[in-house]
Amino acid sequence: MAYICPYCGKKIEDKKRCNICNRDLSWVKKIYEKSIRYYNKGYYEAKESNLTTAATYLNKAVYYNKYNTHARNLLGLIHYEMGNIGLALKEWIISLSLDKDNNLAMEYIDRLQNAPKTLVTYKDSISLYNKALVYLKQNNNDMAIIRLKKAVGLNANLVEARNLLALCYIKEKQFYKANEQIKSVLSIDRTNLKALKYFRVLSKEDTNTVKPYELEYIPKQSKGNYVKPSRVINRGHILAAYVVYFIIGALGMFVIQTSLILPNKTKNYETEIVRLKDSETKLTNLLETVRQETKDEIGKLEEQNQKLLMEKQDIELTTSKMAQKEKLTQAENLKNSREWLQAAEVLYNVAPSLLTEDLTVSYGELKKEVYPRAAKLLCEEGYRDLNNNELVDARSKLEKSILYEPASDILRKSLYYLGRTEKAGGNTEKAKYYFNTVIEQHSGTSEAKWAAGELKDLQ
Amino acid sequence: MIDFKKELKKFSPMLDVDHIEDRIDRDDMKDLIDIIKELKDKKPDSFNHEG
Repeated sequence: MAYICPYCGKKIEDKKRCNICNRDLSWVKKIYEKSIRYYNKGYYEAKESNLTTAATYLNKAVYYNKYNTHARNLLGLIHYEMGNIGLALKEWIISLSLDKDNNLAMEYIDRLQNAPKTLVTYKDSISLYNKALVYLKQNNNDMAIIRLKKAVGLNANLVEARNLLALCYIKEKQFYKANEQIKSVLSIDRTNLKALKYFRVLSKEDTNTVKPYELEYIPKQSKGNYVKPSRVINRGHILAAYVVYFIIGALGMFVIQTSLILPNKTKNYETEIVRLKDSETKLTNLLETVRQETKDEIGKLEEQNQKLLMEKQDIELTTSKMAQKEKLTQAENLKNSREWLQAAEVLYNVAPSLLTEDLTVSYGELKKEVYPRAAKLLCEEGYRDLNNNELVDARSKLEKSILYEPASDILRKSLYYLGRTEKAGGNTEKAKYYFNTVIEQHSGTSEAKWAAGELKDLQ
Repeated sequence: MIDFKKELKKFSPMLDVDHIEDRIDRDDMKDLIDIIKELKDKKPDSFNHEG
């Protein structure tokens, strides 16, 4: 391991003071010693196959002293052991760039470069793992499992791929297969955190029984027990012996089928039924929860809708009140400019129920001032129109005159002139109604006398 | 039981073997001594061990 002076960058012999630039290096020495302590810890953990823990210590060792090539080379070896060839090469390249003299990293890199097939296999396994990750992010579990199986087939030590494969199997409830992967990981790295976590999860599940949906799996140990078939065919035996063997074999199969396979299958199906029932219950509960949530949501929305309607009504009411106030202001202005008819028209359209107390008083005062004048003007204009035989205008003005709560003399005149207007227009019944009203409500007046005369004519 | 999506986030893509040299950045070559030295260069008075 090289010791480098941080001031002049030269290799140093005495660690307390640089023999080149003569500067104090006691603080550097302390840091170097810490780095060595972490390297030793990492080394012992690596020996016990506690690779994750070892990697943690070794990373600290190179953090304290980047020139601790022993630590960096061992860190590369650990990555290599865990199948992560990319990280291993990275550490060895850094190690070599920092110390070119007598560095083991050179040998490791050479060995890999001299085995191009192995390098390509490792590279493919990493590529497959990376593709599987992409598939999983797209929720394509099946494609990911295929890629991961290939990856661990090419690089059996690729612990991260085995962990991911185990996670996929756990998701698929294929606990037997997941357990196989986790056992492999822990045999390589005893302190692998993910594997330990999945191991804890799997310890609560049945990992000994191969579920019906895991059946395509060929247990690892059976691969070694492959028996080569005999190429020697004895044609000298009597055919009958074959028949007897066949019958014995068939009987044996029948016994195995009825006593071993069928009960096991039945048990598996029963387990499957229980699992499906559980799933159904979960789904029913989920559905009920969603239904309840939707109901609550509808309730909330209805409440909000009601609130909004009330707010809308309030706004409309406020707007109407403001409009009434505006009308009063307009009427006031028209009154001030002595435009009595327009002022009365505006006042007539005011809704008194929407006025405040103050405005109601103003409204009453305006009416008292404007209405009698407007009624008088309309009566006079209506009379003029009647004499000019403009009956439509006359009727309209005289009717309006009545609406503006006129004084008694104007009211009886308007009613009398309306009677005459209707008579002139040929509306006998309406004319009679107006004349009778004048006679009944304003008896003793000239208009009542004239109305009586008109009535006589009509009869 | 394991939350699959949460657990999946703990997995990240592995470093590819190709062009590893390009993936080595300055921080990979830095240690605590470099960091202390940088700080000393910035504040020479407060870190002056030479006395």
